[in-house]
Amino acid sequence: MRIDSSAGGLPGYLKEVYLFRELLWAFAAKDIKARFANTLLGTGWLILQPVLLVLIFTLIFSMGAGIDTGNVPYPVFIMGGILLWEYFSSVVYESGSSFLVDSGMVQKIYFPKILLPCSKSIARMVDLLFNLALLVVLSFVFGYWLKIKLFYAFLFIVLLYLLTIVASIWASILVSQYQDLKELIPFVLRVFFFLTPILYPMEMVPGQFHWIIKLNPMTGLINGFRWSVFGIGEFHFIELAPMLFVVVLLIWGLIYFSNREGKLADIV
Amino acid sequence: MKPIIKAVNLSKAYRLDGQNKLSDKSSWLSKLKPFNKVKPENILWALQDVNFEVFPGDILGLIGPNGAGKTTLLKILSRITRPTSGYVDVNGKLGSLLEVGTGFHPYLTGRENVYFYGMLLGMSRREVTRHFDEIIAFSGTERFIDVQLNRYSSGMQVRLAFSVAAHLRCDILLLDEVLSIGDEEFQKRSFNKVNELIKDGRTVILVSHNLPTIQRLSSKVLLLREGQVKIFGEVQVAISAYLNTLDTVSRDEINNSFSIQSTGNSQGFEITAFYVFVNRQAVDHLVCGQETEFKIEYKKSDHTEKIRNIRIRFWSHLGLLLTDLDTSYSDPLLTYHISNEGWLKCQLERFPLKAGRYSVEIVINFDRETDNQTSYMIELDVKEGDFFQSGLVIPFQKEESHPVLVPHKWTVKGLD
Repeated sequence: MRIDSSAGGLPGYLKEVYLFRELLWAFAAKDIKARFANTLLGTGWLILQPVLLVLIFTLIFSMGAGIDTGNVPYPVFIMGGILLWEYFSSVVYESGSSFLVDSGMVQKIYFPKILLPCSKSIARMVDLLFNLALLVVLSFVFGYWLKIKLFYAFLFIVLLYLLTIVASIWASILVSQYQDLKELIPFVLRVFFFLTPILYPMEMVPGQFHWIIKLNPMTGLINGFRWSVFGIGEFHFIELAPMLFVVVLLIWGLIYFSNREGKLADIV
Repeated sequence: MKPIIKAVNLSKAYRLDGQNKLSDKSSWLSKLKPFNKVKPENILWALQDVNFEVFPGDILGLIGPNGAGKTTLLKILSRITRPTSGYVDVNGKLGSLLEVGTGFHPYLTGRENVYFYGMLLGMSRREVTRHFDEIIAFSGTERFIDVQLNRYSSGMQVRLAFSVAAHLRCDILLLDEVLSIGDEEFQKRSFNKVNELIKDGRTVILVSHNLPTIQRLSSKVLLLREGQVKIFGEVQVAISAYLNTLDTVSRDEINNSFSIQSTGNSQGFEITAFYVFVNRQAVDHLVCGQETEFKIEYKKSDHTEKIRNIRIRFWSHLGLLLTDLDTSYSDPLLTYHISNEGWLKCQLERFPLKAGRYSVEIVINFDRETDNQTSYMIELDVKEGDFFQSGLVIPFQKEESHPVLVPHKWTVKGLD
């Protein structure tokens, strides 16, 4: 094997990733264990966090605004959006700073570095599963009968995963090169939380802004997911068009990452 | 025989001007410019045209002062960072241990950490399982294996980490300053383990500031200095060249003190001045047979680990350790409770080395558990003197045979 200044190229890199694939699970398992070790409630936080979040938003919005969500009770409605968004934003946030947090490992140990940000999307799946279960529980509590199209619901979760991992890969490599982004990412995530129809239905957005809101790939995913579990309204699959761009970003991101990886140890 | 590692014109440059950062005003510009147009004072060549070959079964010792490029070389070999130019061919599976315990998580148990760390170093889950009992037995932490790591002493943690790394399946093993961890018993065990790996035909590249370790293990030595290969070859030749070329002394004319550079993990300990007194005069040389005093002025911080002992060692230019003024035996409790600033003095009634040039190494050994150490090297001339107070000056001898003098007295019975 020759080590020189050139990057090995994407096929070689993917092969290396495959050789180290077990490490992906090891990173994720470590994150999960470490997260709940030494906490009193342990995994109880997995339930408590989203419950509190839904409670707060319900209190704030149902009092004044009176948002019309059709037959779906408001807490159930926002849970159907928050669970996707929370997964996305927590994973992107964590993977964005992952190389800085674990700079010791980056500088002193060889492994395909892409596994580190990617492992965050696995570790947070625990939250996602709990939140999905919680959605079912909430709808029972509020007496709303979910009309789940299982295939479509699953499809939207898969697309969510794709979107999240693409954003994670880009966030991790860009943050390590331009560390200002570490400060910017939480801010951007917060802004997009409000620009995405999570707390409000699409119908509340004035018609002339629909096209711009729908450029956000998350909009299509949340609208689609709600359509597939609540069985309300209709969903036009054209709303998933931005996901095509996400696929381009995935391939581009992998190539970009495999080129830059050799520099990571020198810059973090 | 085909070399297992072959480095050809290997170079690595680091930019000192805040590379690749958006906050740096010049970065947009410098991105447009090719690398060689960066101002030369902003480039640090950590390695420059390094060439060497390692053959299967070789034990290569890597020595050189701080900043010589030893760790950079190991990082390139283990593919953590890429060279700027040149290349290395590696023909075998390579395992490396550059820093013990990086990746350990304090909230995970010993068992969980062994699995994670093993996989991080490149083992499969099954391999870790297969070697698990061996690893634990070797580290001597069986009793604590299901206890969270933050309950371990730092010594136990490094022992556990080393044990995992020692069970890596690889053809080439890179070790950076890891043979001096743990207590003496564990050091002996890890030394034997490395020996065992060597006997199995493993190729080892070893960085150490501890010259005796290099001497005992290596079959070849690569001496680096400022990123360049100074010597590559015979162990004795390279070690004596290292001791000879150490030119870290710059004398302060007014105080007659020496300013010295350290190597190793200094733990916030710093020698601020080093004086040599001969017959109570601060001087820049030693005199054979005269009353001598070494004074070490130091500073340390609250975070500095406990100091186990301090020693002043004298090396010949052939790399032989001549004598060791070690507090461990002469005054074992001396250094345990020293304050953050002060001095230490070592007095000799009669300086016991013959005239010549010697390397003087000041070694500070920290806590037994971590066995961190820092050392300083200076060169000192010893002038001719009357050691036995017999009126005869012991002459300067070029070939350093028996340079150590021992006070003694002869008597005779049966005079005419």
